[in-house]
Amino acid sequence: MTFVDRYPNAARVAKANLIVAFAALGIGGLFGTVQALHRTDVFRGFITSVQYYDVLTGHGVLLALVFTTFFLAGIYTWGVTRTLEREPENLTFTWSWFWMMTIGTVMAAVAILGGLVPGSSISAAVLYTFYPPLQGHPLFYIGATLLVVGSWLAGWDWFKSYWSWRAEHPDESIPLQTYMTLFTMLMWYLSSIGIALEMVVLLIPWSLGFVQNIDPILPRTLFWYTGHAIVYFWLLPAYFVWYSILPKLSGGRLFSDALTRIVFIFFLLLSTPIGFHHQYADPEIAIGYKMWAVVATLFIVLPSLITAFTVISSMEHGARQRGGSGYFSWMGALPWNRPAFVGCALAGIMFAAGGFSGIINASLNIDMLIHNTIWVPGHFHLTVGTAVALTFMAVTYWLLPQLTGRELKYNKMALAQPYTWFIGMTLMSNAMHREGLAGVPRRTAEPEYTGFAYEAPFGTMAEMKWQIAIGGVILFVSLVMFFVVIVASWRNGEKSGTIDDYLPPALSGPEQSPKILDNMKLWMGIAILLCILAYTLPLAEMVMDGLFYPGAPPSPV
Amino acid sequence: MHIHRFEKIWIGLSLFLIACFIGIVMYGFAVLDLKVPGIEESETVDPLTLHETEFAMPGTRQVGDNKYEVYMVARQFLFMPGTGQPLVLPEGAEVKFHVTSPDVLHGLHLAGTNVNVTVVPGQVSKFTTRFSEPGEYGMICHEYCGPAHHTMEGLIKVVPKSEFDSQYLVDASR
Amino acid sequence: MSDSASPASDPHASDEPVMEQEGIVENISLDDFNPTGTLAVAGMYFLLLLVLYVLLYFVEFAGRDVNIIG
Repeated sequence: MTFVDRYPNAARVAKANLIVAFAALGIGGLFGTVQALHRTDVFRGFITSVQYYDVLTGHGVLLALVFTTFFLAGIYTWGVTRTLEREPENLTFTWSWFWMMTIGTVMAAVAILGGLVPGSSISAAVLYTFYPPLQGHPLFYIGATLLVVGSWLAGWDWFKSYWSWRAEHPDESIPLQTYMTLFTMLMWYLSSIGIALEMVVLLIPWSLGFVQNIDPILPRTLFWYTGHAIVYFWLLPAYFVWYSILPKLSGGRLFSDALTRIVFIFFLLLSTPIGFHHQYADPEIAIGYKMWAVVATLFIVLPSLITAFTVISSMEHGARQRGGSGYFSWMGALPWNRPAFVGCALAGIMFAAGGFSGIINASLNIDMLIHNTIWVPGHFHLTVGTAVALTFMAVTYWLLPQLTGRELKYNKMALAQPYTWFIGMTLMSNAMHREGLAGVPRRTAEPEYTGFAYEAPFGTMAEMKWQIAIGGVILFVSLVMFFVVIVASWRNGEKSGTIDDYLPPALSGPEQSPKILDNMKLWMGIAILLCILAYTLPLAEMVMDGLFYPGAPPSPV
Repeated sequence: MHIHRFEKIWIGLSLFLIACFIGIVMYGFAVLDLKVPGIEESETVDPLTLHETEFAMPGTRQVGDNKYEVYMVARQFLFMPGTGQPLVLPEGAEVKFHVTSPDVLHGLHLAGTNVNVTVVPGQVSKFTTRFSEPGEYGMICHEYCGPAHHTMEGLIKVVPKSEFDSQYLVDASR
Repeated sequence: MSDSASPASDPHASDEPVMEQEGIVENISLDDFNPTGTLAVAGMYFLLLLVLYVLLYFVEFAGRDVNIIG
């Protein structure tokens, strides 16, 4: 008797979301490998350099918007259902948000993939950031908007479940997995306003031709209002796994429920008002806002550092319960032969490295060293590309059996898969960081120029390009391994009545967490205030000189 | 609320670390003069009428003793000046750049240096730099700007003061 | 409230739930647990971050001779 037996409706919803998530992961991942081979000039036979930008748009949108959002929806549906012990309140509503998100995704995908079809008039090679005046087909903008609005409805669904539960449990603390879900969504509601306004007020009318010229700074600033916080929309579900599931996978229990809540409060408060740190090199943001951004961004490192301690101590608890000892050798007692554990642990290790390069990016002037170089993708392939993606893949090994009632198949391949990912990403990302220090740009089909040569600060250009290409291929192999395991397990895994779905309570539990941590209205109120303080003036200045002025004409791609 | 003693130590260490980072950044900014573009109040310009501004004659002008200004236009898919003919500048002089675009977002990165700026239609990107030694610097557009983005490059050639003369200056009186 | 679904751990029956997973040889309660290993690992990370940041900032970044100075 496991989750799918107790909550068959929620299980179906979770599975549907995972199917779309994994479809996006597969196509997006394939595109990434094509890119790695193309831009390193190891193999340019799959696509032309012009098509590279269609492929890159697909890679970014499918992985960083679609895979992430749908996986979040799947795992949060599971977490809310099991901790509140209730199926979704209204299944029609639930399926409606799923289909809205899916139809939006298909529309955007058609627009992007249309660019690869010779002779097609539909294309959207605008990249994941879609900065105007570069202009894609309206289907792209409308589709992406439907995906975002659908995610709002998904959050509403979880709040509805919470309110029904709350009516029956007036004095209890919010169960931790539901707490993390609700706080993620509060953060997302506040932060996605930027991109929603950008789409609905500016880009959709403009792409449909109601407006000709467009002033790029307002859409760009609205994008980055959302664009930093969105990385926490990706990261918080991974933290959800590391806080509520990884301790058990390690053989232990979560060290502190209270600190988990505090960390999520930090992210609610600070994720959005720091978006200017993506615009350090821009002329339109005054230095005062950039100064605020660097201080506040460096403060948001704190909840991640706290997470490191709480999660590692929970793993240490498991290691010592398994008989481990010493200052460092306890790590050897962890279950390095269990796929779900290994993926999460390696993801965490990689996040430690990605955190460092992120701290560099945040630091105002040193950002000039690496802004828009390939160092930046080097950074985010460690964070969203591994900490998030590998955690999602790894937890699926533990979660899928609960959704299907079938045990995992090909356990050896499942175990090898995260190690393979780790090796591939180590090769690719370290080379991306070093190439970035040499000045090699990101987002380009051919980084070799005719008039000058790069000077590599560590290593040689040749060895770095080969590491990117080989790393990219190894990542693809890892992805294939993941799909083999998941497809086989989903369809042919052995049916079992004893699926492991047990999660022990925290060592220091919610009874010891101050009630004020559960006061969503208080924290949301402060979060809204911080956003108003950070963004009202700069946005007002941009709007006041004309919503679309000074404007440049559209540049269709 | 139970926070273990060790975790309290760690939070203290983390806050100290964050303070170090902020301190280092501010020191670099204020004392070592390591700055970012756009410190001066931002200036807008109409991308459709650049021909009525200084950007109509892109290039270098001398504005003081050892001080120069460069007006540069970044467009799909070249830098004016910089592409085709290198932009020649004197060593040791203070050079202030004004950069804009008539079409889409571009980037300007001098490979191997800390000169890094976004170029935005409707805005003038301003920054000052000094080339202490002669040499050559590749100009890269690193903000995706369309299908031939990867071909957009230029070159800055820094020559000894003695070699820099009026042939490299724009005659703004014309 | 349901963070534990196993019949082996009824939080109202005893002070600490007993974990019966394979590989676990002893149950450690909150009072008995001091994360010395975590402090050691985190301490190493702290030093690494500080040293790498200083190196990257003062050597790699400030060491370049063409900068934006204003």
